[in-house]
Amino acid sequence: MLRTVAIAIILIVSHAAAADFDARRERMVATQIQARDVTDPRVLAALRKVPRHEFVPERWRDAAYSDGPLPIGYGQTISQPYIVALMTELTGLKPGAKALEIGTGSGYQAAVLAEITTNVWTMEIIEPLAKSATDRLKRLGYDKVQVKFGDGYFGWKEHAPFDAIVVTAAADHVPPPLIEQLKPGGRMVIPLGSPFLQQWLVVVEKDEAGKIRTRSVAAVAFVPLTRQSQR
Amino acid sequence: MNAVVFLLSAAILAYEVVLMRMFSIAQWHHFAAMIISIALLGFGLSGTVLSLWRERLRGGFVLCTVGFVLTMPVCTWLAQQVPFTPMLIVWQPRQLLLLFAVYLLLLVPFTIGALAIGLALARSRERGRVGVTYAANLFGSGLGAIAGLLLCFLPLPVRLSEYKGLEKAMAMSGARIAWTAHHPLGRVDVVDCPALRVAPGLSMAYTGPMPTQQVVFVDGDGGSAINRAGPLDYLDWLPAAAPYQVWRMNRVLVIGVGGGAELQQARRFGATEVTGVELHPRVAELSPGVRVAEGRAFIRRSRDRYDLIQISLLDSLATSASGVGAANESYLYTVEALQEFIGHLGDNGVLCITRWLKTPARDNVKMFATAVEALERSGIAELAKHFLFIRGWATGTLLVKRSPFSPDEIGRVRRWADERAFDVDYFPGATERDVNQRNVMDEPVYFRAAQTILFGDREQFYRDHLFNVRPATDEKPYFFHFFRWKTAPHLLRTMGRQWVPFVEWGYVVLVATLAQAVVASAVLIGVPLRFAVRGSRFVVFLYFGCLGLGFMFLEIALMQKCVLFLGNPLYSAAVVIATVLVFAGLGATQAGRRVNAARGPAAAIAIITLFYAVGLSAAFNFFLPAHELVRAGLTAALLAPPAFFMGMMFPLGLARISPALLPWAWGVNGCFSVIGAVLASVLAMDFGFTAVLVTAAALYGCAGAVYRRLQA
Repeated sequence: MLRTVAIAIILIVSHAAAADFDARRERMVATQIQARDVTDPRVLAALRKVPRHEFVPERWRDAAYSDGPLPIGYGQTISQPYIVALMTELTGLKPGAKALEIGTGSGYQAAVLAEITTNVWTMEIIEPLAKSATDRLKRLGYDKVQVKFGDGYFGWKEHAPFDAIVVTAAADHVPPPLIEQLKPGGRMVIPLGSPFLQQWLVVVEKDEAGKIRTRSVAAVAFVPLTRQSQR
Repeated sequence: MNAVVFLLSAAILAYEVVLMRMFSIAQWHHFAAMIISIALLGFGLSGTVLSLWRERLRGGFVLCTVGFVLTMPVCTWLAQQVPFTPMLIVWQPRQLLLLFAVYLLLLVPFTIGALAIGLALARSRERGRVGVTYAANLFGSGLGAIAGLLLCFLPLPVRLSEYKGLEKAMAMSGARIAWTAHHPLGRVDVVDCPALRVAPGLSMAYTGPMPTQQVVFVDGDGGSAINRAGPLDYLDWLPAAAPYQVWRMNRVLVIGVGGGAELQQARRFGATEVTGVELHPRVAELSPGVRVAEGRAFIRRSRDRYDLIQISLLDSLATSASGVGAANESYLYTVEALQEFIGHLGDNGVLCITRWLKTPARDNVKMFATAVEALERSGIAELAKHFLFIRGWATGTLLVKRSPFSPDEIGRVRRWADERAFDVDYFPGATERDVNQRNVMDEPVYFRAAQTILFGDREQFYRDHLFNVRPATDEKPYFFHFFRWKTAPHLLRTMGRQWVPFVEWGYVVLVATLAQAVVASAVLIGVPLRFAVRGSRFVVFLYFGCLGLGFMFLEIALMQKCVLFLGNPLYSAAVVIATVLVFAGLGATQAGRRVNAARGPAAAIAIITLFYAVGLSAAFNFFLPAHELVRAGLTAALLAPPAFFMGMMFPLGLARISPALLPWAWGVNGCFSVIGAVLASVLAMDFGFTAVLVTAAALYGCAGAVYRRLQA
């Protein structure tokens, strides 16, 4: 009898906690994502669905839906929700398209991508992170996401070319093999700045002729003061 | 007792220097400065404690001395256990509590040590020998500063932040540290890490392989490549290869060698004489034949001319983006520096400077403006024909040519850039249609900025810009300081909390340190007033406050002025600190013996300081070609007279006030020394070092004026 009551209490508490996280996630999408002009319905739906609190270390779980990045150990972070949303939107990813992520980290970005397409590959060079992300993604039902422990510099040749590549591990240059593995017409997104202060994103586009162009996108709504004086 | 004061003062100063180094390695330089300056408020706190409980502490000199020795290692160890992560402050207010915990822990040894010195001063005041004890304090501090620097050659027990480049590299599979060297200018680590490759701003059109590299980290940060084996083709696809397209460069000078990739690049393009200059002697060891010197000091003393002077990317992308260097002086990127570099170019020589891009644009805009003003001051006509600005996806490279770029040269560079998916955002004769093609920004910001700087109302451009893009000068050598108070409300309004990344961290931390020092000082000075201190307090406050501020203003401004003259920040710090403290100590021994009033010494300090404010730079320029030892000797000779008089001021004041007021005066002086150290940098950033020197003269003048009104 006592055991049944205990189980019931645990179920009620965990259900209430889950409901609380759902509400926070809704609020996160409304106040942090939509409010900053991310409009792609697929991206918004993905962020509404992926349980971000499952991707942050236990001690930071309460802050999982706050408007900022969080540490996940080994000098890595889970990006600010808005940055994840913006990066996903900038890839222009469509259902059925192929996406590669370099720098799995917690696996959150991969899960968001997996809500849009079933073809997601992700690579991580830090072994413990690769292992925990693999387990986590499996446990949460993202078993189609393929995680590989290894050097992301060379991409994942067997599954190339990719429609979208997300490089979450910032480097001082873009590895040439990744550009090769980007499909003509595809896009690569790279966040720049320091780990806790991602300030702008570079979108790399490869046209049908294989010519490369980049676009830089500020990661904040920014009104230039100098516009008038520059004219 | 004086011998103990001497040793104790030496230990406190050495501890301070070593702590600063430890925090620079573990965290970042600016946070190190913040933590130490606040910990130094322990001197102010000791004054408060002595004012309130002087009688009870009367016999506590030995106890406090032992207490300092015991708490120093314990508190340092405990402070290292606090999981404070500076970068998280923006997102987690809880980090402020952790920062506060670090302060409190480090405050303990400094307060106890300062209590011992304060007690010794009080006792010698009663015996009428305060000058000798103060001299022991100053001599000890001088010795301690030098000893601290020497200790930095030894391995220090430090745990690096996991967010530093070195720690991140070590988390990758297969990474190992191949070589480590310890030096006061920074710990050097050479890392073997197969997954780490360095090629700043490499063209996205490059499809070739990378060589096997080792990566050099200084204080766990930065990261420059040593190419060990394999093809070096990638060097042709870096933005810094642009000048080699103009014409064949035979004599090349590389400033900031790091791992040496740019030396290899020069040789690859056929340079016959390649000179590398590197500030850090242990980093220089990594590339044979490299000259150890500060880049600016090297060029000042050089009589050679070069076809190409290459100033490489000296910081990492993350360091540049977070603006941690905002409060650091740099004599490489001032108008005068560029003038000197251009002056050392051959007739067709090129100066090439590469910087990381920032959004919104500021670094490269300021660099362009600096180069334009440098050429203008050099009397070069048809300015607009001397520049090319090449922009990749992450970096901007500015080419400044001594003679105008010819249409052929421009054509070659443009074709080269196009093959590499780089834009040439400015070239003589460019129109808006020619630029911003391959790396597209919402607006052609760099082209428009270049046009306005060259042809428009430059002053208004500086005035209206969101960031401080006015060129840095030797007087205000803060190239990395972009923050403007005027535009801060605009940023805050339009971005909310998102504006924080756009503020240069180094500056924010500096201002926060100043604010904290002022608040803490107000409390530390105010509390004893309420409970313990009686008498003519305002004059005591004014006199000892002026001394605290004035001493630090003078010391810091002179140290800065000496960096260029002595050619190395470390030598400058060692020569200035040792000279000032030793001669101030000698001065202190004369206080009350040969000199009995502070008005004369104060006037002497003020006059000498004003003289230096006007003429020191000219004197330094004149003696620049002299040998290193002559320059060091001359610096000491110039600093000795003011230091000698500065040392008299404090004991003369103490001798004049009632013994009951001594601890409070000691506290006031301590607090204002901390404020002075930080305020000197803030003032220099906005008004220049001459203004800091003039203010120091005024402060000593003020102290001299109120001296007679100190309670006898």
